[in-house]
Amino acid sequence: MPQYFYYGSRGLYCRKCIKFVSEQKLENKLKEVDSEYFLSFNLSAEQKEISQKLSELVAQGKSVLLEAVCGAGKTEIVYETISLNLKQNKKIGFAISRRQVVLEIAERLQEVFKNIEVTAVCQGYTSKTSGDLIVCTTHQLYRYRNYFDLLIIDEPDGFPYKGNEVLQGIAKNSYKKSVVYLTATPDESLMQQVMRKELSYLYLSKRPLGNKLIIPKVIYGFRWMLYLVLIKKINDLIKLNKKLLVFVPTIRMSRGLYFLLRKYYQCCYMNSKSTNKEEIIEEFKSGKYQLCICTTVLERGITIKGVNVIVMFAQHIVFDEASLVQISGRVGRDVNDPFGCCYFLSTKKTEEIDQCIGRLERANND
Amino acid sequence: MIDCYCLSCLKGIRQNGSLRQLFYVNDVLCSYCRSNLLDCKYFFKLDEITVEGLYLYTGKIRELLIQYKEYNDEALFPLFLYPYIKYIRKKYKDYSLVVMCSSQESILKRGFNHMENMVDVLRMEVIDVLYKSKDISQKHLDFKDREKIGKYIHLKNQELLKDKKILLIDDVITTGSSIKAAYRLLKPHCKDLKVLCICYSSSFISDARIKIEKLLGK
Repeated sequence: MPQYFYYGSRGLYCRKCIKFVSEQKLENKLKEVDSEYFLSFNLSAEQKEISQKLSELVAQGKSVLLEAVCGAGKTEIVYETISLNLKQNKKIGFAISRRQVVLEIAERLQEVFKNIEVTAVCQGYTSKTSGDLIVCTTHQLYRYRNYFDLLIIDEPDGFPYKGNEVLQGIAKNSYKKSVVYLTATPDESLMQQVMRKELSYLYLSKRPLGNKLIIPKVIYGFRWMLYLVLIKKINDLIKLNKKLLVFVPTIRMSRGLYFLLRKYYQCCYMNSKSTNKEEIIEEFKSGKYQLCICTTVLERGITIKGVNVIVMFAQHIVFDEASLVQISGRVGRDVNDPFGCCYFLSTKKTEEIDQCIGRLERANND
Repeated sequence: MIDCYCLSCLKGIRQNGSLRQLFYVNDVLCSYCRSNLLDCKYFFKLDEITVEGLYLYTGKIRELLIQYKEYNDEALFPLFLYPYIKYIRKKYKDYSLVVMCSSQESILKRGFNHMENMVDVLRMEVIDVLYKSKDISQKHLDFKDREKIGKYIHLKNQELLKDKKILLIDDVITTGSSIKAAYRLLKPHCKDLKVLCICYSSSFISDARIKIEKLLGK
């Protein structure tokens, strides 16, 4: 790519990744850590089997793609591999493409691994960059060049990591030996790597309690009619005292719908430009709001108990197959209440919706 | 033309360009990136000085300027003045340029003089008369401290300025303290003095204008 390079006064440099230059030096110390972990529940038989296989493959120095349906406990499966590697004084990184999820997962890991130091590195949390276990966004990986022995990348099919040459290059440079991809919806480039045998492949189709995935109901209609359907569904669900997430394709629409609905329901809205995302999520979780109107920022990595989902205008290009699968995976994550409903409201039939439903049905039948 | 790739999005210039650009390209950005810059020419007053500003310092142009200055992306130098070359060369026909100085340390740190590179595309005479004695970053200073910056700007080789028309160029104006200091230093020595800044902060324009631009969707 000739346009990426420029001959400046200090010689040749790459213009595409110029923003990712780290100057600080990392400590390379070795120290004994207590890598025991404590779980408040037991893993199911399938989970145990997969987690054993994974740790064997990683011990051999292989890279792995782990595909598991939403809510199957991908993070829990990796715990054993992490603790085995920590025992051997290896450096481990956990990279996620979204900032919110980094903070949530770092908290979860700290609860499980009580005796080690888990460091979250993301925008706003960059003063401290060393620790026993590093959880960071994929952007922050540029600080750790050739540093990790094992790198775990969660959801490599999500925005902004998907299809971004710079981020993928940085991730490639940050690990020495092996990398583990965790995802529910692997994209084509990953599957091609599996075909070429660069990656080993593991598949888990069951949720730990054996409950099935919830298959979304699709409702077709005219544009204005969908608004009426939306209001009816909101009324029905709020009567049952349930929380509701409404996904809309654009930032503008999230704001517009909020101004339309705010007089009748207690609702909030959220998009990538809202400044107090953590507060909004916490208030929504605690039950202050009945419904939250959001764009695809909330599509993955977030667990809200007993939530129901409606997708407005599911035919929009923003909602591809992966994001639709992830959105319907938000439903039924509570152990006590594994049921819920998910509606796609669409003006026309599209391939993405069909593929999404097909994938979920296949996972249920396996 | 440097080459046929857009400097900002690195795609081919014709790729998401307009129909006109299929036949004739006279820019270093593709028309999509260019349309994202808020290039509204605007005259405003700083005390007694009239300043001509080219871009409003928000959004995309701010990102690009930071990429150029902080991350040392040297290739971006022609982008800022490219659409204004004809206009400036015609309006300030027999003027010579004086660029706002940066300290020796920051030039060494960057490896190039960012203002002189930027002005290169105009192909006009540049006189080197200003210099800064101390390196201070203006980013974290408040309004009062910024006014003291004028102390550190000095004049050298005054005889070069004699009987000349001068155009003073700065990259960003936020409070205008350094421009005021430079203006007062240069004024007594030259025949005529005008000021041009590439970016100006939104505090100089009235609220009504911002509202109109928001309505237009820029």
